[in-house]
Amino acid sequence: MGPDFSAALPYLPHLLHALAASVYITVLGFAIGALFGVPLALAKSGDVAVLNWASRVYIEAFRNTPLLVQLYLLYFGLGQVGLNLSPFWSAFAGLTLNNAAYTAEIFRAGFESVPIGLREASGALGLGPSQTFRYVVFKPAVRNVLPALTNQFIILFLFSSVASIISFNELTNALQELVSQTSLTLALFTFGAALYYTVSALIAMASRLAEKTLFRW
Amino acid sequence: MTAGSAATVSPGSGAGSGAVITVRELRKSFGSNEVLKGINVQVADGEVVCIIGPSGSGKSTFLRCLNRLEMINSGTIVVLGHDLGHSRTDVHIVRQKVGMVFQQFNVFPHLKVLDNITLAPRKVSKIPKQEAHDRAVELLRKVGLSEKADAYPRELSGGQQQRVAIARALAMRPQIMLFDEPTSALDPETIGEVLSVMKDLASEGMTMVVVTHEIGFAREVADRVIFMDDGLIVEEGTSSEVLKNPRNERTQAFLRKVL
Amino acid sequence: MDGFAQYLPPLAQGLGMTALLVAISGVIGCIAGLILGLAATSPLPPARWASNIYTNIIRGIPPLVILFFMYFALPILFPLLTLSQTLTAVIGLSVYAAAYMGEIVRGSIRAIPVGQGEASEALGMRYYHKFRYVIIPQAMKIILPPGVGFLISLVKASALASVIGYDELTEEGHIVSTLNNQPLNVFLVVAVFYFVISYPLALLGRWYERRLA
Repeated sequence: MGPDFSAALPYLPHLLHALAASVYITVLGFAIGALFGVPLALAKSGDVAVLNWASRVYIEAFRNTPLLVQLYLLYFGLGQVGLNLSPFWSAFAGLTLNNAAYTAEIFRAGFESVPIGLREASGALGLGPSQTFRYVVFKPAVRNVLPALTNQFIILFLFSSVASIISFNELTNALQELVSQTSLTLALFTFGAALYYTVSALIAMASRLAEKTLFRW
Repeated sequence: MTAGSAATVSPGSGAGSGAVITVRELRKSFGSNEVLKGINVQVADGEVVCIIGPSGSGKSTFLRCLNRLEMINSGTIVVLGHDLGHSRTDVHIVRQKVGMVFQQFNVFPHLKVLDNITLAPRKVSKIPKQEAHDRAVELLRKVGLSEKADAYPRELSGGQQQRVAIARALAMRPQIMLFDEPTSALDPETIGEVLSVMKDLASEGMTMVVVTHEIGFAREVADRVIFMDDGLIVEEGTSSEVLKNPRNERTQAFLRKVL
Repeated sequence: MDGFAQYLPPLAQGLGMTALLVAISGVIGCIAGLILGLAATSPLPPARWASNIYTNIIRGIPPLVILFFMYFALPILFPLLTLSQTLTAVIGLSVYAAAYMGEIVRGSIRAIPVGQGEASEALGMRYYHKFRYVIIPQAMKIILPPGVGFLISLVKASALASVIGYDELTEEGHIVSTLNNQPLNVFLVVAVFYFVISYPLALLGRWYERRLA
């Protein structure tokens, strides 16, 4: 297989470029999704019945259906009612909406993991509910679920590959194109797999590092 | 040396006959931390030996070396004629003759009390089901828990669980019983019931090595008391020698703090 | 919805193919996962390495890439291995499932307090007895909630098999929607079908998790 691999090397820059797109869309989807995840989590454990119900429906819908189907609904489905989203916007919307549901659950577990005694003490000191949340609950909660969040990020990164199917030009899409053009199938897929693996391993390492430095208590 | 003789030592070749445990120059380190710095000890058949000392003195580690839950780094341990330091020794055979009771009880939570006791005799000693059952019932009566045979461990108090653990160990008909701080994890009210079972065991002539903080128990029951500190045996003798008239300063200091 | 009744049969058939795929690769994945988990906690270093390397690599690669690799790349390496779409889908998903179940089993075994193993050994039990009668029975209860959770992931991952042409639910949805030009309607129904399989499993997993506590 020697010649196969060296013949594929020139394509590495192209793959790296596509990998950047994968990372980019993952970061976007994760960040915006997580941003929505916090209010979703609060809505689900809150007292307002409508919000409670709505957030639960949203979360269960997105967690119990495949990402691919969600992307098809955005890319093809919306076209039926005249809204033609580009591959990028479909992928972005899909990953964001999907991630919001998963991170909502992670945050909810995180908030519940903060001992109720802390909240009581905070209230006894005169802090209001939103202050308690911001200063006493949020940071310890995030610290407790950092491994779960990292895991979710890695999963989102791996599943960004699904966007290739709706023609978003990320790594897996690039692999498919190159393979059909060059027939360097084995080498290219091996490179692709190695790139995915390397990035997920790096993210895991970075997270462990972050755990030791940022959340040092 | 033939393969067989390397693994077993003929009885009586240790100094003093009737020695069921002979330990010489035992050293044990965890990484770079030397925890046992040269232990020399003998335990005779039927003797009750209590090991006392401050935390970190290595007493539990030493006890765990006696059934090879910890591997030694150098020195010799001969238990019931088996050389534990030798790699060829079948430690599973030794462990069938040496019972152990743990500080955290370690009863099997997914099995009823009776099944906890019959599991090892049936699977390891291949004892028929009915015989193992009868023996278990007898042991439960002996430790005072006959009515709990069908209960699950989580329904029992700490003291009751520990008594089940003792019955479980006794079911294998061991010649030596090792106790690793058996009452340290118990509520004060339940300590007495466990010590009572241990006292009965001692009066029946079981060879026992007990790591404990219960000085009263040692005073009443021990034939010998060993005081360990910082990985070495500092003083040993009869319970009245060590506990009432300790010769060593460190022993005196420890007893002052504890009593 | 127009023609709703018309596209229900092919979707139902797709659902059946999905269920079949998930069931087979689920079973294989569980068995392989048990072996991997035991290997990962075994006293033999080579077993631990092999298991960890396998689990680590598979979990760091997208399942879609695993399927593509099996379908496109593997036949080149081993020409004999030009498998049908069904077989590729089953093997690809099994490989994926084994890695994740292996990690779940490993975590569950390690969650058993070390004292349980020590007590078993102190009673003279060897590896087989210790695992069969003390460790694994206790681990089984711990494995169930994440195991059920992974089963749901497997259902969702099965949708990817559509990309290599395996005729499961998503693929049927794709076919039908290209024919009747109503992707929104069709894929909403597809989504509901997936939901109907997954949500009860999710509830089951949560109920079981509460029971354990």
